[in-house]
Amino acid sequence: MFAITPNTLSTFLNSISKYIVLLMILLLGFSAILIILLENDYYQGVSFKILFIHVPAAWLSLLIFSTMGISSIIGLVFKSPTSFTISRAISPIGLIMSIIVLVTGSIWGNLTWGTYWVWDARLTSMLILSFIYLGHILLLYSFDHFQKADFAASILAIIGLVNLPIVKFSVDWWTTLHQGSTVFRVGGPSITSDYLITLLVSFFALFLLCIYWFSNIFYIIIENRKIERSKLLNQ
Amino acid sequence: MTSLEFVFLSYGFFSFVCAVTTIIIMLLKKKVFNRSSAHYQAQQSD
Repeated sequence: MFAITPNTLSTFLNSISKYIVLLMILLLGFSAILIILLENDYYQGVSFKILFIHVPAAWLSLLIFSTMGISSIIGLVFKSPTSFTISRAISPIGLIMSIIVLVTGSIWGNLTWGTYWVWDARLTSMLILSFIYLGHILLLYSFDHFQKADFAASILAIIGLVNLPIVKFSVDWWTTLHQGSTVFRVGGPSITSDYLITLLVSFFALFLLCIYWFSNIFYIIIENRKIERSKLLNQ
Repeated sequence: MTSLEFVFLSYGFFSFVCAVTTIIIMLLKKKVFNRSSAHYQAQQSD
């Protein structure tokens, strides 16, 4: 990752962009059909169908933060501009995913628990994660020079990595209203195969949407920097 | 509201957020592309 220049990565992402869109549309359509065809849950009725946006968005918000933290470490250790740019480009996507998790979770919570919000360990740690995303974005745009901003934001991203196991294992470490893990757990998934397949299709569709957003944000950052650099050289 | 209406609300919110984000990104991309084209054209004419 540190040997690839931001320009090379941007060109590569742009070249595969149309295939990503095509595959994403196919998967979105397929997941919509699967969600409509799935029978309602015996206990939760139709409300369980929120699962297919809530859970993929939750997985993605954790995955994006892990990527952001790792690329920040690589950026600081190897002084890699590509890693810092990756971190900068995925941060807003992570924030959007965490907002989707919180809002859909609140709606689902209202249907199953009778309340939109409780200061439960899982919900609180997820809220903290979205605040870290917000802080990361604010730090990125609080400095005059982007290298200083990248440094400060990377430190926050690395510190924020501590919150990831807390989000993941909060349901095991504390007694929570939020249900325990159903897919990534010891002994294998506890949901039926039709639910699991639909969940995985929804996840990959949303994952491709994030990749598409990322490739475009990455392009915007690179092009803006090229223009600024060219202006400075001409002065 | 019924459960089905809450489910539609969730999917509606999700679709709205995704659509707005995609539109904003596309507009920013178009803006930066135009800015870049204008900049390089100005450079060539100098």
